Amino acid sequence: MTTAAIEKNKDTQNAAIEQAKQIQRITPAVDIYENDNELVFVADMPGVPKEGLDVQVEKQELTLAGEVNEHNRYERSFKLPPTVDVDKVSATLKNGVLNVTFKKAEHAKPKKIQVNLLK
Amino acid sequence: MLTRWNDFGFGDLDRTFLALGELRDEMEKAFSDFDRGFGLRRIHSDWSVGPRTELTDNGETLVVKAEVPGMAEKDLDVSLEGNALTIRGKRENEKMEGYIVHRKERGAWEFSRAFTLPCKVDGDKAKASLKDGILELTIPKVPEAQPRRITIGGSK
Repeated sequence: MTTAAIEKNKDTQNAAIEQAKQIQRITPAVDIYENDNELVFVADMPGVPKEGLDVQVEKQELTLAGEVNEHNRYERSFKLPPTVDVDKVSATLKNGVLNVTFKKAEHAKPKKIQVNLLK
Repeated sequence: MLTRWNDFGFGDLDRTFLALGELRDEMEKAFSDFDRGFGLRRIHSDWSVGPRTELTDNGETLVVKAEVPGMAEKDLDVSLEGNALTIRGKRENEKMEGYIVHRKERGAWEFSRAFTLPCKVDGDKAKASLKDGILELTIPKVPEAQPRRITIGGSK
């Protein structure tokens, strides 16, 4: 092996080590449910304590994130429909399962229209 | 006739693997970019083979961790027979009646997974805990299986 080849090999190895040090981003499995009143996200995030949770809404985009430790982080984003009220949101974490529930905006809820038939 | 490894010329083989590794990295990059918009990257749940687990040897004890999101104590069953460890678990679907399902990646899940521990253990002193969806078992080894420090005899 030439000196140049050895140097290149070293660089490759160092790059691999640097990469291993980085945070591993894990895509959690998610369920999404909707009814007339709310939109519900349920995500499996085993190993994330309450303090590690990071749920954010920015420009109608929801990001569900949770840190297990300094090397492992769950993260996933979803576009929110305009029908949800981003201020009316609640989140719970139980047995490693995150639940984020948005209430629908009043204007988006279905309304019953009374129809009077003319006789 | 069997081909000996040396006959390949190891340098070439090495390079081939390196190239494959680079290709894989490129693909991962492409996927992770794609994911930003569509959420189609490999999802962290392959429950067909049971939960993700991790075994650590701490010298005096073995520690087994398993990811069991959505399960409570009552949903789990752990048994130890000699050095054969079995973990069983079950979770039900959330009851979301009257809801439209937009996406369903999680699900009802039932598994039974058996492990052979790498050494003799003291099952009576094993402990189990469940926190944030992680089952953690701490199983002490029998004294004979614990590591011993060997002092280097100083001969004058």
